[in-house]
Amino acid sequence: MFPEVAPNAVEPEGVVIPAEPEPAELVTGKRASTSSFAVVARAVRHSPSAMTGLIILVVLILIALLAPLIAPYNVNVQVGKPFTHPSGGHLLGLDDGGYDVFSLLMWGLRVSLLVGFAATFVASGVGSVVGIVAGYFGGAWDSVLMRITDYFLVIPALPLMISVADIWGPSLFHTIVVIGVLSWTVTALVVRAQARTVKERVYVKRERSIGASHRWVISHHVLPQLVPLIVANTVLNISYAIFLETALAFLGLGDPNLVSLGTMIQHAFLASAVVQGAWWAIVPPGVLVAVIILACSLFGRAIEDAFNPRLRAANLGARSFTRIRVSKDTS
Amino acid sequence: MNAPLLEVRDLNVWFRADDGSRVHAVRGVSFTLDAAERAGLVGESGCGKSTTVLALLGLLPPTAEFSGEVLLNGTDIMAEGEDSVQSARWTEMAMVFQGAMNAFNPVRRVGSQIVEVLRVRAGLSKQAAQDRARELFELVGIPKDRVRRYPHEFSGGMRQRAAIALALACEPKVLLADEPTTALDVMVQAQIVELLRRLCEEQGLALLMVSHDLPLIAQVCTNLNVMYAGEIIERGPVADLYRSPAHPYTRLLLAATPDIVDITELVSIKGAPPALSRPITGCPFRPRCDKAFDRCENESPVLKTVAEHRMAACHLNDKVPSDPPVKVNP
Amino acid sequence: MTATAETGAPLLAVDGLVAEYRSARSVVDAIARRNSHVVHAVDDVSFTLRRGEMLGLVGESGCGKTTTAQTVLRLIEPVAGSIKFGGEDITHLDQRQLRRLRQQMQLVYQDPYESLNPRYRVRQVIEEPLRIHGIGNRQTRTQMVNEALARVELNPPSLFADRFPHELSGGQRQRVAIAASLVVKPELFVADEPVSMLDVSVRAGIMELLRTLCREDGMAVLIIAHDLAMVAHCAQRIAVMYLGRIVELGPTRQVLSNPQHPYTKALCAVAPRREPATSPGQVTLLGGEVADASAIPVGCRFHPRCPIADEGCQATDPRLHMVPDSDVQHEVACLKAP
Repeated sequence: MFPEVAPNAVEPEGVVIPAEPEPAELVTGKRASTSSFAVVARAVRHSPSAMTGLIILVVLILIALLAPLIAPYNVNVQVGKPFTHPSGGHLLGLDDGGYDVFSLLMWGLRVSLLVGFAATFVASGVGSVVGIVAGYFGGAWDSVLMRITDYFLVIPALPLMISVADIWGPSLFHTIVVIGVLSWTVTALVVRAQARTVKERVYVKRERSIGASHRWVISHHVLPQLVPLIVANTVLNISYAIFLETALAFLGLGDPNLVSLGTMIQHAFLASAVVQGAWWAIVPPGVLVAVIILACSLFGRAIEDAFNPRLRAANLGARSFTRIRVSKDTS
Repeated sequence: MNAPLLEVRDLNVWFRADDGSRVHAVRGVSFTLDAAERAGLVGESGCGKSTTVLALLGLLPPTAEFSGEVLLNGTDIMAEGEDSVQSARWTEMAMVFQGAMNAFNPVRRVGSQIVEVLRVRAGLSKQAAQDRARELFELVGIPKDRVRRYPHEFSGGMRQRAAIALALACEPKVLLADEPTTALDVMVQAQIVELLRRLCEEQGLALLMVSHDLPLIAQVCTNLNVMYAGEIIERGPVADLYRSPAHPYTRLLLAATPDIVDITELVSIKGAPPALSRPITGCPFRPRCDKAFDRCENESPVLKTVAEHRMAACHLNDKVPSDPPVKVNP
Repeated sequence: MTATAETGAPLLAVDGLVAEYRSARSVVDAIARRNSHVVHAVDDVSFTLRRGEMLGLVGESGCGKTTTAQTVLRLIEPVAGSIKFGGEDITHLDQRQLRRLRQQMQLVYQDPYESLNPRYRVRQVIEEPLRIHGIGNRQTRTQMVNEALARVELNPPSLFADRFPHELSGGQRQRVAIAASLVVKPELFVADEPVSMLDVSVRAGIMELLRTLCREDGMAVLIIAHDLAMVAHCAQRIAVMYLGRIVELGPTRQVLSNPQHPYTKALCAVAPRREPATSPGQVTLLGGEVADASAIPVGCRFHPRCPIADEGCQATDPRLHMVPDSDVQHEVACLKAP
């Protein structure tokens, strides 16, 4: 999630002949697809961890979407004594109110994912716009927008949420807004750095000399180059947003009417689940949050690497000279 | 007749691509370099000239495989791989790299970088190394006080001189120069080229210079090797080569080179060099040659003597068709 | 479309053009937002260019030739001077009016590996200028794209239209860039070192293409180059620049066979020859490096490196004057030239 460092080769004074290690293929060369989707697909296929992350995310999203249909028990109906042990009928037992934990997990997942995605899309949207405007236009736009970004960057999450909850009351909407307000800044910084780099590319500068308007250049040349970065950043932001929601809910600042993974942990904690040894009420939601974050990170990182090969550690390492293999065969 | 200082025998380099295929970048290159001889390796992008020179010092990337012998004073320095090459590097044979202007660490003073080489490779004491660094600067025409400056305070031409000083630090016998004047202005190019020529004459160095610039290399070198598609296709003294090239590629390349006074119709060679990831049947230049005939299709020409000190790999030079041995390509 | 180069008023007339780059000299300046470090990239440049004519702008790096080209096209804003295009003064047009005009003036860049969007197919690259200026509809645009490809000798057009830039060689990519500029039928074509990043064997082909466009289509071509020999073969007129000023200007053959300015003489002397010189080292090389454009010497800007400079040269800044005894317009800016 670090902004891309601009390449810093010394400007040659005269003429540079590029080093072409292979001679130019005639027009009959093979066509490698360069579409974003293909690049991501390739990266995921080659990385088992990314594949795992993607699969986990897809499965969890499906569960969340289908929760009303597949949850074994109605979560609004008490089905037994509080903190009943897990058994055949209730795989993860019952929580402090006597509700089935397994079903609650599905519904809680639904809310957590909803908040995470909604807040992140808002944040990414705002952050991308700010980043593109600041990075592409520069000058006064850049100064003003970056100052604003700096102010938002340093706002502490918890005091803000406490204030909001105090003044306007805690609700789902407020949670989404607060998380959105807090996380757009990082996106803005990352997008701005990349927009500045893309703006300097020769084919973008060429657009001006053709007579393209700024709107054309941004929508046809700058934005397409930024989309992969924005996507990668969004995926990583989702994990942050879900974590933040969980934390806020645990502290009692979330919507009291909705069950999210965070509120599950909160209720269990407040009902002294730990003391009573009811691990099934506290551990599963926590583990599930961790799994979501892990999956987002794995997948997000793979996208990032695919689109920005310079981030790959191998490129940063010192060149190692080859151990020469003297093969006696000629071919 | 003395034995040559540097002898390269049947050098082959393959690169492994991401998808597993191999690119045969250097194909059976052999040449010799005598002491104090200035030879050039000329060709266009992708012909394998830079790869050849990097291979001589064992500086190929991990994706490369190579075979052949590199004999320095009769001993094969590639025999034990990295160990044998390491002892020859810089002390016997040194290199001025392409883009040498960027070869210096930007956060260290230039002098200290040369001192480091002297202390590590030549085992000099700190004081002796500093003195020698100043000497080297003087040798290449940089004012001695610049030793304490940083690379960004040097102009491009000066940085190139500093790179040459770095290469000469351990008093090698062979100097390899990979496109030492690319990215420099014409005036500075002329200065650097003159410097190289003078240094080699004064210090008795053997020079192997790689370039794509035919007229430029003629100002420094006495002998030329012309490379195409990984092979040496012509060799000879510079003046003879330019006056009467024995290979169509050399001839066409000269015809494509503009001259400031002799303004004639310029030629461009249609097509592109062959893909080196596939085996080549027949002459590699055949698709672009203006004088190709039926023999060029299937029979690969061998580099052989066509006149005194002149070698070329072209069927056109054969006077008797039944003569030459056939090199079979798999 | 005029066939001869000499008739009528010049298409492009540049007079007294001045352009600079400003940056902060120190940290204090940067904080105070005072850009006091000025690089005088273009310092009073004047020339004309007619239809059907190719003018070569040559010089070493830092002489301001690329900046001149960019300023003429108003991609960089001039600080002083005037630019007249087709009789109209375009120096102070606003961006909106300029955009309309850009159809008439096109620029081809030096680096064929960077100047095409790698995600666009050749077809899209060439079609884009048409879409930007609202020319034609889907069918006619396809036709125009194919015509442009044929014009730059990428035949058959249908084979090349669907390729991505990375599937083409450097020379082919540059042809695509030229086709993308040709498709809107410009009157002025500016080529910034169009062949310097290409192999020698393909350079002549591209230059010949530019020459044909000049001769047959009557385009005015301004070519920026550092290779005197290449310009000698292709351009009718040549302008030699040093530190932001044109020091010699005239018909190519004339200037290169009888150079008047010491800098031009030095450039001609170090230009490598196809036939190797019999005794190298007979040329007296110009000492030192190109001076800094932010600290231009007083008097004649060339005097620190000039082999024939005297006290007068340190005081007076020479202007371009006609070379006597020449029936063609050969100008030089040197106090010691007759």
